[in-house]
Amino acid sequence: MTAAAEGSPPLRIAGARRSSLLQSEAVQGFALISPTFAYALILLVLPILVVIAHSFWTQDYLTIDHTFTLENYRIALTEPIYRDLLWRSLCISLSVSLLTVLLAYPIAYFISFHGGRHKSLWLFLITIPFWTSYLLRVMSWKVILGYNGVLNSGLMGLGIIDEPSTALLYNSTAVIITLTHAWATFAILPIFVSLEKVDRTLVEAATDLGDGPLRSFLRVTLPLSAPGVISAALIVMIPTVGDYVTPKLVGGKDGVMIANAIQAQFGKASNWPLGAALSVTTMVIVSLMAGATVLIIRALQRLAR
Amino acid sequence: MTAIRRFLPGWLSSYAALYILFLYLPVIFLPIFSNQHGGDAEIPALRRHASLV
Repeated sequence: MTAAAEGSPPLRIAGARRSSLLQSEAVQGFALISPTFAYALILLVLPILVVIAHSFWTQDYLTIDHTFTLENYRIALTEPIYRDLLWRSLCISLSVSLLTVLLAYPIAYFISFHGGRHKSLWLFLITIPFWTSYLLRVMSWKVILGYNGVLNSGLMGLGIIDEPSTALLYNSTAVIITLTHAWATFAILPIFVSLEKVDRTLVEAATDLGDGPLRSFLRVTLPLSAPGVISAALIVMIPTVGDYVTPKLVGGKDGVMIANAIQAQFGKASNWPLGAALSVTTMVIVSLMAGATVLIIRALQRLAR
Repeated sequence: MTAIRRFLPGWLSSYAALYILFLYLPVIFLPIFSNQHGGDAEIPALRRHASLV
């Protein structure tokens, strides 16, 4: 291209448009996030797409038949065993998130409002137990809840029971206790952060206007800390539905969850498409449940106001 | 109300201490009990399994 051609009016306009496009905030922003975007696309979206694709195929021993079918979804949604496992997983996960948030809120409140200059020390104390491996902590609960474990020995020592109880371990209660412990920090920290953001002058104003401690807590502190409560509930609920290590170690036959069935399909059963269909079904139901949780908490927040 | 206000921080700090103890339970008891009773945790499951078989 000659210098004369480069300088022609239409090309000059096109060049100016291109340079203004390159300088636009949107393009610069996109260029800035593109490495992260590519990372998320390759490591998060792509595996999910592969799982979704597998869920529409079938497997015959070692070969995958790529013919489109909804048979796996029919099995996932109609077979009583998978329906029961999914229902149990949702119940366990909801109980764990509710229990974790209820137990975590008072301690987050205490640290935020009464922690004084020792706030960092309290937070440090809370995080220390979580420096150990997740597996090790779950195994520890086997030791605590076990036949001759800490709890049974303690209860027998106190004369409350005559022989060790078998009701403490290998059931869904053991899974709930273990998961409530394992996800405690993940609930305390978001609630603490949202409580730290609560403007103390608003609480003082509520007190000045005649609200008692309980009323000012319900009308000011709790609604303002609702974003932290929502985050904590979701952070705990979403991963616990898919947890398979805890039910495997402390759940026994009564504590088996949907993730154990998914793992079995991808492992021993060698039926990846059914495993994928179960995963996608669980994912969709958990997303709906998470959405419903957010809506319910927001509605409660509006009611409290 | 004053009594509640006076009691609340005390109640909360006791709760915080208990909660911290709950968080530390596995860390405290794993080294103490793992050598003595660790294997026994499996007994009921094995018995149940044996009865099923």
